[in-house]
Amino acid sequence: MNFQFENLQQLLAMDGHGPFVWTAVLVSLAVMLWLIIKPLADSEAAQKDVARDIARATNPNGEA
Amino acid sequence: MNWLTNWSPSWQWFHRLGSPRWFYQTTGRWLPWLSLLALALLSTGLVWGLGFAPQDAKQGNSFRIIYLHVPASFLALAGYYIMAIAGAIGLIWKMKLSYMVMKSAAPIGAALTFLALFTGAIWGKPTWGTYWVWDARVTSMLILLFLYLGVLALQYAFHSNEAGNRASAILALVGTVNIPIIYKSVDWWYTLHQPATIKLTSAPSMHSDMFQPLLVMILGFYCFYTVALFLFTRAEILRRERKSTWVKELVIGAQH
Repeated sequence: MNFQFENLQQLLAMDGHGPFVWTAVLVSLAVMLWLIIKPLADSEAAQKDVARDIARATNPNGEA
Repeated sequence: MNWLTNWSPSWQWFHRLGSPRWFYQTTGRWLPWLSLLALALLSTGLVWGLGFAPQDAKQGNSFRIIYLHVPASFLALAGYYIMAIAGAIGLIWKMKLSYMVMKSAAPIGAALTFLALFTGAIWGKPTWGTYWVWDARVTSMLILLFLYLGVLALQYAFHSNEAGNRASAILALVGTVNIPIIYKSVDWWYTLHQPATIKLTSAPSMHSDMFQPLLVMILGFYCFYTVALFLFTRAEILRRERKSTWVKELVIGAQH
């Protein structure tokens, strides 16, 4: 099993197919990253809501 | 009547599985390992497939898109089963958690179906000479995308959660007729799309130097899918159970 390309330029160019292959790779990674970040952000937001409800319940008038 | 409640320990797992709290805690323990495994498999498979696998005799280097296209398509289809089965369990046993899994599977499935179509289009250009063709396989995958989006949209179309859940589950179940059509489309119709590379019943139609990294990528996508499904479901659990004591305790615990 050998590395199929002589250098970085060749790896990026892929005999003219580079733009297709690398666009597919970048878009896939971006979508997959979104599938991880989105639910983590939602969880974070939900926990903040709960924390605010708790704070309101313990201090209903909002006094410091 | 004690025997009725104590009688069946084998059903305990089923009821526990239905508890959002149990799901949240258990998946919390699994997530670090599963994420690590997904990351390791995906990076290995990608480097192997893009840099080390030999190029295709006919398609040259454009064939390397297969290492994303096939795993994304696999999980777009497998994810539909998960969504439909979760919907069915919700309908039959009125299990809250099951509906949450169904709802979480919809955006992930839609994203992966989009990826399958997008990488396919990009692969089509150098191979078929066109980005898009109204071919049976491509069209039935587009219908899959609309089914996912439909399930997602129905969730927000009703005032009550319960009605939205039931409508989504019914659409998901009706939509399963599309799945065998997708699988069989390349055999039933004369199409541009090439026949399946991997079949359970026969040896893969590709050289093992090309096939091994594909297998690693498929396994990696399965792990990734599980991680994403857990994360989306956990977010949904927190949102839906925000009034419960255990979620409040969890948030207070995290603050200290």
